[in-house]
Amino acid sequence: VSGSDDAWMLDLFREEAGTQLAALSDGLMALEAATLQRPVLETLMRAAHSMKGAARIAGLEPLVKLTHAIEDIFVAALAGQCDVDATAIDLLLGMVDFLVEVSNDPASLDGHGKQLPALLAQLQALRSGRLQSASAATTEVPKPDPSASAPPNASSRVTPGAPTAPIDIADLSLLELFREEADGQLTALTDGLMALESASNPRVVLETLMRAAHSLKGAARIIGLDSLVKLTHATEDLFVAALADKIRIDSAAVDVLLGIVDHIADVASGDLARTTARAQQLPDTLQSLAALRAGQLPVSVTAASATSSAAAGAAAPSAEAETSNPSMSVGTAARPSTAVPARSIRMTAATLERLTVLAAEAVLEAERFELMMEQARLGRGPLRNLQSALGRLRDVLGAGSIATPSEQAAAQRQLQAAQASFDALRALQSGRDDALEAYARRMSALARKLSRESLASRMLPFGTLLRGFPRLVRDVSRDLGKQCRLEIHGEKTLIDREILEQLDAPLNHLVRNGLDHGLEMPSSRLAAGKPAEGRLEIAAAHRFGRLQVTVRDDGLGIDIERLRRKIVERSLESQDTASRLSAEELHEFLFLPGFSTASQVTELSGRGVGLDAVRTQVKEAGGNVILASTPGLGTSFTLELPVTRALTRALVVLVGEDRYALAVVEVERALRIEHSALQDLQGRPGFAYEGATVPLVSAADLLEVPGGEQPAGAPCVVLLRTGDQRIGVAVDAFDGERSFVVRPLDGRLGKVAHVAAASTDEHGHVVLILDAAEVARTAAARALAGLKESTATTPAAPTLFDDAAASTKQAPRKRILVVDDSVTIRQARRQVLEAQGYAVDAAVDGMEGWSALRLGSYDLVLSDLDMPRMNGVELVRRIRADARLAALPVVIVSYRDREEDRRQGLEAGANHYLTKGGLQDAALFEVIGRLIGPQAPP
Amino acid sequence: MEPAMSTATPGLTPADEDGAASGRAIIAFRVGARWLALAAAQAREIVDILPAHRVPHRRDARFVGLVNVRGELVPCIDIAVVLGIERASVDTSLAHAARTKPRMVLIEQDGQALAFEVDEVNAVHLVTQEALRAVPPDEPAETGRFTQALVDLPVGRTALIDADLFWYATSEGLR
Repeated sequence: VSGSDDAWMLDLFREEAGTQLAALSDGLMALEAATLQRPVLETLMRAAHSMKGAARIAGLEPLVKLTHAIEDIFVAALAGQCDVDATAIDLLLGMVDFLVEVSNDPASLDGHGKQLPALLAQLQALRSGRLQSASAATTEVPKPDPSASAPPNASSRVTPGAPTAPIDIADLSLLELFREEADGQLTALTDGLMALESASNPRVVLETLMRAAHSLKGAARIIGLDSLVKLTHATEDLFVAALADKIRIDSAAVDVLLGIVDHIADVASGDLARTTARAQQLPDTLQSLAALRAGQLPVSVTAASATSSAAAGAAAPSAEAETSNPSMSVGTAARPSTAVPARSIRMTAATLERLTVLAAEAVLEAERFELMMEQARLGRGPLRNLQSALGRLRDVLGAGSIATPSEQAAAQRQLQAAQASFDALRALQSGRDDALEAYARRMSALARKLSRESLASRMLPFGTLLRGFPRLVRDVSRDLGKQCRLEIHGEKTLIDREILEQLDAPLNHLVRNGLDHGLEMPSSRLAAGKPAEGRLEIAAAHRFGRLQVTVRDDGLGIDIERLRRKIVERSLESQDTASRLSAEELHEFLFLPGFSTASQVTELSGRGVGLDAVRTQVKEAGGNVILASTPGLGTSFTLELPVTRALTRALVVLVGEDRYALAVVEVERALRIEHSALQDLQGRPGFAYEGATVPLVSAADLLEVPGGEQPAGAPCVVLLRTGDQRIGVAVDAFDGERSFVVRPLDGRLGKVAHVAAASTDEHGHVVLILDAAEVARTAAARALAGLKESTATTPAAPTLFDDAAASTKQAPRKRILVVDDSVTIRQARRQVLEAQGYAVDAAVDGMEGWSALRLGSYDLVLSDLDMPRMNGVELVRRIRADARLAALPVVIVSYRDREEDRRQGLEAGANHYLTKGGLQDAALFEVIGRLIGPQAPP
Repeated sequence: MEPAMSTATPGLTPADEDGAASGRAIIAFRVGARWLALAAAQAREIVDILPAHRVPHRRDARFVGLVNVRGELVPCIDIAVVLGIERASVDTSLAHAARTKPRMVLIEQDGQALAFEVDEVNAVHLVTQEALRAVPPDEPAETGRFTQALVDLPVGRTALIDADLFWYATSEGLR
């Protein structure tokens, strides 16, 4: 076999292996969840078998052995001789990873060969049912070389390529496991305790509670948290006693126990402050548990834990903090403690796994395409042959006559050569069209799947937000002396996790508000013919592509007349106007800052956070609040939000050659305006719309970008609204409506006025998504004031390049460069020096300062000494060594006040050395004035 | 990240990796009539010209707009403006000018990418330290301050751009 044939064979093997390994991987993933394992196992067996065949053809004997052993496992599993459980699946997925690695680069097999006996031994162990657990398997086998690509143990699959020692990974996963476990058990405990009070069969609940406490105890013991072992043991003991009817767990006891749940949540969170605080409370807490067990309840403890639990109510469920427990920090040393952590999100392993599989599939597809390209290139030879044969044939024919037999024979030969080349080409071509078409189909399906999955990974069920709410409602209503039943609907409604987070605060507030102001005291309810127990409902649902979250109470409702009086009292409207306002209009006043109808400010919901804050928060999440109320029957607040912020439906418009998009929900209408409808609005453009004249502003003017040529047809106008004002924004054309995956604008650009985000469309055009509200505001202000001034919210900072522009206005200002790594100091210096009339630029360290000096022109440098990348001394040295800058005055300002530091700075060439400690501005001005002369204040 | 010179740039002669110790790999490109070079490690990839979307309210001539590089939105700058090179001064009579095509160079530093259009990308060259010459005083003032060293390549005298200074000046233009 020649070298090139060999390579071709390997390519073919790679492709085959890609398909089969994907099938193996998919099958293994499905196996875990499958109710019927047989069909999955059969697929897996076939895939392993095909893989074995391919490896044999390619002559990769080690892989034949490995795949044979894998196939054997599936055969045995089908025969019921061995069990493929989660541990086995982990092991097998590790094998698949290994195979993927090796088949992508069969040459690496030599290096990986050493691992083979270990892998085979593991498979053998699995086959004979000796594999106890993943950890047991890895201890039997020597750890693979860490640089090897796919060590087949379970943890390596989760943290690929982690450069940490094995012990760290183990500890880390243990810690994570404990948190997961604690999280689940604490929820079970809270739910159980809440249910206990109203349970028809408390025994069932008590058993659940006992089990939860027991499991927590076990988990705490494993990671060696003695305090939690003690606490959970005492708690479990309590439930055991209750089950034996030795004690009764009443509502006061539930309070204490909920306090214990908070305690455990704090310790499990790993937050140092919370853990320390709890450690001090431990003796008291244990004592209160002992008292409960003895059938007596210490009063002081009840009160203390009741208040603390109310405060912690909302925080407790989210106690799954990402910080590490200080007592277990061994395995988490890799986590940087000082650096600002990158925004991270929690994602289920399954979701990540699905994404990874899809991404891997995409890579495989790309490789397949390369193979197809390779095959397409095979056609070049026959094509060249065909070309030359035709050329020669033309020569023969062009000679005029093909009378002689030799000429005929020559023509015949060329024709045959052409035919042969053509046949070769056709053979190559046949099937290629189909393959390409199939490829395109697969690729677009894959891309859609990938996009859907990655969007779905941003979504969480609404219920995850609500885990703290039953507790909140219970605590708050008890404090108020009210009775309330919480009903939750639509827990499974999927919501973008970002929006979910933003919902927490407003929802919390609305629930407190409903309990405090909405629901009546039990006695008043009974008097009004309602049940003593009030009802609070939280519901979430998708409606018309938007998310609707409703908080509804069956309380008093809003007293319209009282509201009207209050509006007049506050002189917000005249008596006359107020009397004519509708209920809906009156409700709007409730959303004004500082407007509260509560006659007394209670601690719960009257803390200066009003409905205006709720509306602001919801608006920030891209939504709106709608209030509905029926006097005597209750109030409901409906929050309308986008389901996801990652995807937005938007109208695309053209301005000049560029595309901009406006969220559909923000656009009132997209219109084409007949020229006859154009109107003059006091000298400015406007158009007639629904009987009024609406001002018209050009998008190109507004955005300060070049517009296109005025279209001959009816102008395209996007109708926006800000407050009561309608405003038309003229664009060059409409380009339809579509969904965009929203991405933030490049951070280096800073805030760009009127632009909310960026995206791309299916043609690869860049599309900037406009902040419609901001556009409307600016447009309205512009139209009404008739101003033509720049709308840039931040005037462009003077750059190093527009010296000339800046200096034409007055006598040239002296320029000072401030080099300091503290932003505070840079800002302070800039202010005082600019107040003195100097022009000031700033650089964050010596390196940036050096760059600025070489590009710009400065009269003086004010530099710090200690800075990252390049310190002040080095900067001064460079300045003095540079022909152009050698004479530039430099003042060093440093915290260092030792004589040797001063000497070092001055020896490097600084003109002055000032110490920051107690530095007076006057002294600084004096030094600067002496070096470059004073500057008249502007 | 892919090696700078991946399959996307078939016209380039990849630098000899073994030689990396004795010299440095630079990528040469033409802007107007001038040949310039950046450290090859800075270059992420070379792509066909992409249309730039203007960013509202930004009138700094150095900043052209945003380009879409396979879904990634990358700021695009005008290298001629940054360096102060006359783009129109290109001598179209250059024998090869007609055969070459403008390309877009993507550079990357600290995970941040930047794109700019050049009239032609030549190749990755491996140059030794000795081949680098100091900048003579007669170097045109504008490009001179960005020039770290001069090197004679087969295409002609090439100015090696000071990457730090270049990044500083470009990021300045984005704000």
